[in-house]
This record gives sequence, C-alpha cells and structure tokens, in this order.
Amino acid sequence: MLEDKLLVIKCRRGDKDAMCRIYGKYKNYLLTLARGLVGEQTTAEDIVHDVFVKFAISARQFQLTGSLKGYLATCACNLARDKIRERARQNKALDSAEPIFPDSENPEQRAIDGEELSQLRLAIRQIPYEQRETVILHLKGGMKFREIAGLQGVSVGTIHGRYRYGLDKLRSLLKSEAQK
Amino acid sequence: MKPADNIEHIVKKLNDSTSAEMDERVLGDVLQALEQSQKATTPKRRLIMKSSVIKLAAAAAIIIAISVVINQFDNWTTNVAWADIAEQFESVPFFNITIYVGNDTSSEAHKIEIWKSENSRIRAHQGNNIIFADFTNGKEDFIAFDRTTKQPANNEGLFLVKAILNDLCPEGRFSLDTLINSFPSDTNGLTPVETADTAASRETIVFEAGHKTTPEWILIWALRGSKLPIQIRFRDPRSNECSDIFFNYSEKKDAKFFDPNTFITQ
Repeated sequence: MLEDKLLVIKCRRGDKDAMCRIYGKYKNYLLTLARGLVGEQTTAEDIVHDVFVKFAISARQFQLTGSLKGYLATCACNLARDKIRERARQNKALDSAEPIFPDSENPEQRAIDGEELSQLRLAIRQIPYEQRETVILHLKGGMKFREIAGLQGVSVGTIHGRYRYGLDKLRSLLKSEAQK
Repeated sequence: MKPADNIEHIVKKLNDSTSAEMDERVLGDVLQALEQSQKATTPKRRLIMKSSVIKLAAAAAIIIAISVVINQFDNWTTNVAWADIAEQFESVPFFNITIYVGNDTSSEAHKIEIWKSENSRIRAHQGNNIIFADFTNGKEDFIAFDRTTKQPANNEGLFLVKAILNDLCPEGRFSLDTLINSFPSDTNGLTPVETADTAASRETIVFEAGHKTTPEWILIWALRGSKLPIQIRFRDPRSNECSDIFFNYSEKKDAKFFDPNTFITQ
C-alpha cells in the first residue's frame, strides 16, 4: 500500500521504472480478473493493455484515494463490461446466435489448466454476467461485497444474492459436466 | 472430474500469466503514453519563459521583490533564510530522521526511521526490514535484512527506503531541497518562505511552500539559532495524505550500528 503510494507519486512525474514496477506487480492479477470476466484470452489481454495505457495517460493528474489494486481492478471491470456490451451489439446487429465470446480454449491451454480448471472456465462463461462479475471480483479480485456493490450500483444484499446464485449455478454446471 | 463441492476453492485456483510478448507490447505502449502525458502537460510557465524579453522582465521583477523582502527582513532580530537552513543541514555530520507517511484521519501512518553516520553510511528501519546503505565513494550500495531472521530481504520495504534515500540524497549528497520536492506531485522547484506564524516562538522559525497548480503544501519548522530543520509536514488535501518528518541531531550512533556484518553476527 505504501509502496503503491510512492509508485503513483513517481508515475505522476513520468518515472518509467515506477510504471514498469506497477505493471509487473499487477499484470497477472489483472489478466486473471479480465479472463475470468470475458473468458477469451485475447480480449483479456486487450483489457489489461487498455487499463495500463489509460492509467499512464492520466498519471500526471492521478490521485490515489483508495488502493491502487482496487482502482486497477475497477478499471478492468469497467472495460470488461464495455467489451461484453460491444460484442453483444455486434452479435445483435448480425442477428447471430453465437456466444458473446467464443470458446477459445485450445488444447495447449487445457493442458496448462488441467481438466478441472478448463471445465470451470467454461462454466463461468455460462452464468449471468452480474453473477460472474461478483464471483470473480470477490474470489480472485479480493474485493469486499461492499466494494462490489458500489461498483455495480446495487445493495450489498443484492451482491450477496448474486454471489450465492453464481456459486450455485457453477456448482450445478460442474456437477452435470462430471456426470457426463 | 470430482463433484464441485468446494467451488470457491476451485475458482481461487484460476491464475493467468502474461507472456513475454504481451509484456513487451503493453509496456511499449504504456511507457509511450506516460511520456506523452508528461509532454502534454508541460506548464505554460515554461513555454512563456522561452522568450528572452519575458525572462529579463521576470528577472528584474524577482530582483525588486528580493530587495523588498530583504529590507523587510532587516527589521527583524535574526534573519534566517531557507537557503541557510538547507545549507546548514548539508553540513550536519550525523542525524536521525523519522518519517510517518499516511492519511491523517483514516489509517495508521507508516513509519520509517533513517540514521546517517559521519561517513555517509545509512541504516534504515521499515516494518520488519533493516536496510543498510553506503554512499561512500560516490556510489550507492544497499543491503536489506529481515529483522527477526536476519536473512537477506528484497521486498517492498527495501524498494521504498531506496526510493526515499535516492530522493533524500542523490549521489550521496543529503539535501533538504530534494527532500521537500520529493513529496508533491509537482516538482517545479518549491522554495519555502518564512510564514507570519513565526512570531509565536522566538526559537523556531516556520517556512511554508505551496503549489500554484495543486492544493499541496509543505511546512518546515527549524531552529533559529542552529538553523537546523526539526520537522517537515507535507499535506495533500485532495487525498488527505499527510506525511511528517522529524529530525534528531543528538543521537550519534557508533560505526558498528551501520555495519551489516555486525548486525548479522549479533
């Protein structure tokens, strides 16, 4: 936290080493979040790219009021929503029945993840976006329900519900997959 | 596949890593964006000052202003300028400073203690880290240890102390000017001036400096007699960030205190 404050101050002055350190510190965290939210690897990488570029552009005026990690996670989340909406609009315009983001899992990725995580990634894409966002931000983003409620503009009770329903849905999807 | 009884545990296992190719692509764009953002916000003052006529006019105005200020100071019993404080601090053979960084209301401040020896050796304490730095021979040499295990440490604390020391003593030369300019976001040369609050105490003198472009400000308390700073406060009202630095010149530590080998074997 203290290091982040210092890094932000240095970034304001255009310190490239500080920016590299912020990138190195949070790149994998953001990629995991983004991939959990949009599913597709390439889109997740684009989100991470855009988060850091936007941060760099605004670095001169940037004021850190909370945690840098939380700020970057919120940015990634907002960009993920934009990508999902954009893709949904494109599909609607083309009258396409394709999923929002196609299954891009390749054999290599499946080997890296193992069977369990590959099934989980597929299952995560099938649950409603608000539930997915809640589950990923809480479990992988380390965000509190209160923070997610603020981000989604709903009550903490609603977030509790989304989290519970999301986990139930994931559980049932994984169980049905296991029974196949 | 096993039934997903503990779904939370499985979700937590999701981990993605960036490739070297992605790192290169993203960092290239990020650093370029950072560079452009700095150029885009070049202060107008610098652009205006490119004109030599304006430079001369500004210089004349500054000279007149300085004359007026000097005349004003002549009426006071002891005149101490900021330059005297900065100069005196650089000549101090040893000191101990304690830095508290934090938000003044919501969270506990982080504490960093730094000792400087007569021969420019440094020992710093931050959290569970003990950092030794050597600025002799014109080059910096850092080594950090875990206070409990006495094993080498290379973590957030080391980075932080290195960054502070690099700001405090670039090239091994300790300077108050670099220190006060290391806190605010705008580094366009803060020069503190004495405040009217000084009248409250004959022994202390208070300097202040504020930014024209941001609401950040700095207060410096110094002793009129010794011309040494005793406290610096930096405040950013936008984020409630408040940092205090306290100076102590009475605690002279022996050479062993600055020796990492002695620390390990103790």
